[in-house]
Amino acid sequence: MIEFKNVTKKFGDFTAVNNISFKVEPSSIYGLIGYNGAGKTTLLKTAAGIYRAEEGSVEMDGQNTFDNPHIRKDMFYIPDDLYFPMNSSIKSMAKFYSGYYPNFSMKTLENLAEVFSLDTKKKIRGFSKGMQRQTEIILALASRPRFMLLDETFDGLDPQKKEITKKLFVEYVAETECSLIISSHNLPELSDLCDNVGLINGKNLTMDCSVYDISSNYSKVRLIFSRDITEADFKDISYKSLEIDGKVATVIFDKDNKEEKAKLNALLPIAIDEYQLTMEEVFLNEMEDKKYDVTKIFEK
Amino acid sequence: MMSQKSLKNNIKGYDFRSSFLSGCIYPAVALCVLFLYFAFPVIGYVTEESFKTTLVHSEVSMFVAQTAEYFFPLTFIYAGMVCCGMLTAVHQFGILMSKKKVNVYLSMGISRTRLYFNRIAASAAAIFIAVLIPLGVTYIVNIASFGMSAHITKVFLYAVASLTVSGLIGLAVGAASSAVSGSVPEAVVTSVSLSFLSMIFFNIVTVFKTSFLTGYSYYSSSASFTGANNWKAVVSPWTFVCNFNSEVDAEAMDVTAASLFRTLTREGSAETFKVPKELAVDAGFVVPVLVWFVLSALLIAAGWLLLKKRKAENSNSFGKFTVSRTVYCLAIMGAAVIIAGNILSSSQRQTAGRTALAFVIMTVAVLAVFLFVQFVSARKFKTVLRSLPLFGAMVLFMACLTVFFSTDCFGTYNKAPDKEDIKSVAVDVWGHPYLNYASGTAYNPIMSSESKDFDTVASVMNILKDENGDSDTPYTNVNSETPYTNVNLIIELKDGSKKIREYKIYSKEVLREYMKTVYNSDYFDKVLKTVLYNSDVSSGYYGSGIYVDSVVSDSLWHIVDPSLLYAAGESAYAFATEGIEDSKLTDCLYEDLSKMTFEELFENNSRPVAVLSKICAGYADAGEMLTVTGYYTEQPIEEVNPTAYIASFEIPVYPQMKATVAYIETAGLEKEPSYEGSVKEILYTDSPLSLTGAINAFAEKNQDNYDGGIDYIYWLWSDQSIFSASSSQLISMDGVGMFTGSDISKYDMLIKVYNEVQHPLKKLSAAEGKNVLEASVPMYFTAGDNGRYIYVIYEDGTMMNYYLPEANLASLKLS
Repeated sequence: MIEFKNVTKKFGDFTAVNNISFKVEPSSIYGLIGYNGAGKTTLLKTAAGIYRAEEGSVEMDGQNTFDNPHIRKDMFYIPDDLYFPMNSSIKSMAKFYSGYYPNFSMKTLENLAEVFSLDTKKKIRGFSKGMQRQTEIILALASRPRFMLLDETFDGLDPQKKEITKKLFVEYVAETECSLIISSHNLPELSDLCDNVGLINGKNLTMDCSVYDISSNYSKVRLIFSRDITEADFKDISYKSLEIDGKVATVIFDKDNKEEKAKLNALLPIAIDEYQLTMEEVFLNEMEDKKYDVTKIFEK
Repeated sequence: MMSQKSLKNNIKGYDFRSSFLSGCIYPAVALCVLFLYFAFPVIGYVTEESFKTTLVHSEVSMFVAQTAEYFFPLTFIYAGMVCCGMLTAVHQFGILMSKKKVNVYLSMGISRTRLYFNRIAASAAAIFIAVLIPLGVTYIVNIASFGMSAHITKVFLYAVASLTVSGLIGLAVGAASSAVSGSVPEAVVTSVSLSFLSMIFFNIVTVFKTSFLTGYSYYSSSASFTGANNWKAVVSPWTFVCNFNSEVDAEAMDVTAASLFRTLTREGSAETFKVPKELAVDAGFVVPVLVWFVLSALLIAAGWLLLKKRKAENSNSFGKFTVSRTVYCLAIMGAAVIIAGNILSSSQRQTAGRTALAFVIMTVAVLAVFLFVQFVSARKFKTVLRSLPLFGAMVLFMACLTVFFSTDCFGTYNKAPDKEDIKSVAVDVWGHPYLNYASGTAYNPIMSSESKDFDTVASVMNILKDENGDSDTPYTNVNSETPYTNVNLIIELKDGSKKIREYKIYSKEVLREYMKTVYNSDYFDKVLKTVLYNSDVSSGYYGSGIYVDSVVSDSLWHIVDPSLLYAAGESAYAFATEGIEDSKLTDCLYEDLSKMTFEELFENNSRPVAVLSKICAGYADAGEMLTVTGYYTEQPIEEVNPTAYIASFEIPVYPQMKATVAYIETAGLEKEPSYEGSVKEILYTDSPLSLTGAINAFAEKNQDNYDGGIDYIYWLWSDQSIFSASSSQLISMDGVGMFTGSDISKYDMLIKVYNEVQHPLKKLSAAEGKNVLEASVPMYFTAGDNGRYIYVIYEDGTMMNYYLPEANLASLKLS
């Protein structure tokens, strides 16, 4: 199990992540979601023991990961920014990692290389970005770690390789009881992979729940009116967000807010439909992003 | 299944092996260089055909051919090993400086400690192998070719140890620097700074201690430590490696480490090598090696501690680590202080005011560098602002120092040490007609350990301190070309250090005051006695002496023999010395001279009744001074007999030197007939300008017309008289287009030079000039005196010069 205990990481005066706590159980995949610069990478690097947390700790099987070789030989971190030495090949990298990961399996590596159609003797620096990403993935899986930390790992993978990779992760986690954390800002690719997701917003973890629960936290109602409406029409209703486009209004409510939803009928819409939010909509809603009027940016 | 322990060992072993392989680039280069330097010449020597066919070799053992050392000094090899170590460390710890590499290495199953020490061990092993292989080959070839030698074994072991430790120093410095550097360039800058930091620190401490804080010397002839050279070697890696080619103070043996590696010679036909005692490898060599081994270990440990605290997020940066920023800021600021200090200390006069100015300039320099480095490294104005408190503290500190040193109250430049700390002193004594063969305290000082002489030194320093170059003195315009007189004082302290205090005196009045104080002191009596009685005088450098700069020398002494003998065709110097007891004459001289005052000796405007002189044959050897005595004639500048007799040392005997006069009269010394030529005319000018001064002024005026510069000015340095002007000097004046050696007589030259500088010589007939001649003297301390140079022209063409002291100028009016 990976456990984040009140982790705070600062860079000088800047607080990158603040007081974050959550757990990742064995045999589960945890999706870490956040906008660019939210602190996902910082959190993963702290978990990997690269950064030292100013406060709190990250523990794997109850052991602090910072500068702890005993636990880290069972952990593999795939960074966003990959490193391969000059002239290295998959084979030479496998040799390198097998020196540091006692469970490294050459056979697994060969099997995986075949799945991804990668030549293990070719120089990695000659590979495309996606192929380099695949190389790192197969090296990570061949190292057979019990903890995996993956930072934007699907970046650069084509849809087919993405699917294969997802299946491999799911299979590996199920097989080895591995705890896996994967960060991304691309929600659809996590929605069908993760068991749980955490949302980092404004340095804090604002959401930590299972994928199945996430959508049920909100409800979206679309209303169609016979007249043009304004925000003033909704002044007596407590909602999460409101979007008006002429005679159409879209209102998002917190989960189980039946009383407020009932008030919508008093506005006399000609049609009313309720939907479940997609993960992306939840993400955007949680981000509380500023709404910019981009139409005037390029005005002369 | 592998056990936990064996898994751990497996990781350690793999990391060590991969570190060794990835970090062996620079040691591999070192191996090749060392092979070429050590092994190749030896192999080349023993494989020569002549070596194989010669049964007896005179050179039976060569650890390294001298030719290699000739082309490439051994110091470079040692320095190269330090660089090799540094580069290896920076290369190895590059894993800490790239974010990509940090992501890999610091997330794997290996601790920072293990990563660090594996790389240190791998690099040290690579360096050791790089040293061992070429030296081992050399060693084996030596033994195979010449037989076993204990000396060779010792030298081999020493060479391996010292070269490995040199590499280890670099490795330690590089590792400690890398642990606190965000990028490779920063690691290199920090390594270099760190390697020089201690040297800069010691340099500044030495300068401050000797130049300012102790207040009595800016130049120390030797370090204050016992076994100074060995300790110097410990100051920095560079002094350590440079020391291999300098003398090592080991049991008072002067031997260089480099000489250890040179060819040994078989003595006779003995089968064993006879190693000269001075080539023994002893503690003198081994101590620095051991010390640096320990220091390297400490640096490596410091690097480890810093690595444990290292913030991985600072990788791929420059200037984010406080430690490294401090190191190179200090190094750059230290270098700025030293450079500023050197520039300022090279100015002509160092006074309290100048010291204060030096500090102001150094403060500005240091702070400018500080700000620049802060700004460049931090690249954020906010960060620079954050360091303002430190900046303010430094300004305050430098301001305090400025006030401190400008008050003259505390340990300033001219302050003498406490008497309790002084062991002995020496003061420059020069300008005295009897001692002017001395050349300066720095060469062969007469040290005194008497308390009253310590007081003399303090008085002298006080006199020189008053000549401080304030703006209201006439010496405001002192510049690099202003003439001066160097005066040295030596103060030997009880702690073994020896300080040489060098003053530059620009004021004739201060020079006179200085000389008067010295000659009226007991110290002068000591010097006089030593010089007169000590037969162990060598190389003309006994006693003390003021070195007078050439440019002003003409203003000091003007010496002409009044009882000049015309020596044409005569053996004027061949008076018999039999029957003369030198020691008795010396006693008489000492008795008279020690009683005479400064004025009687230096400003005696009466004519000597005789001159004692050494004959020309002893000119080159001051050691024979006074061993042959007699009346003597100085060579006149004369056209009839220009080559005859040159003498340089003479002692004018004044009437009040009664004991000497009595001795001369009773000792059977025969007075040589004086030159009795008829005076034709007497020349003088309306200023105290000497011929040399006139020539200098003329040359100065015409230097623009002379393409080759004004070198000839310095050829005309003799302070004695125009008689010293040799033909070559005259010819050299052709350069200014005025004279030629052949078409102008010396008389015409005399007239022309004075005319050129707008001080034409006036003529007096023999009758008119009689009073002037009688009032003129052969020697006088002309500094500050407003007298006249007198040139006497005889009917036969002989020319001589005299000096008419200011006190006797009335004779000119009478004429």
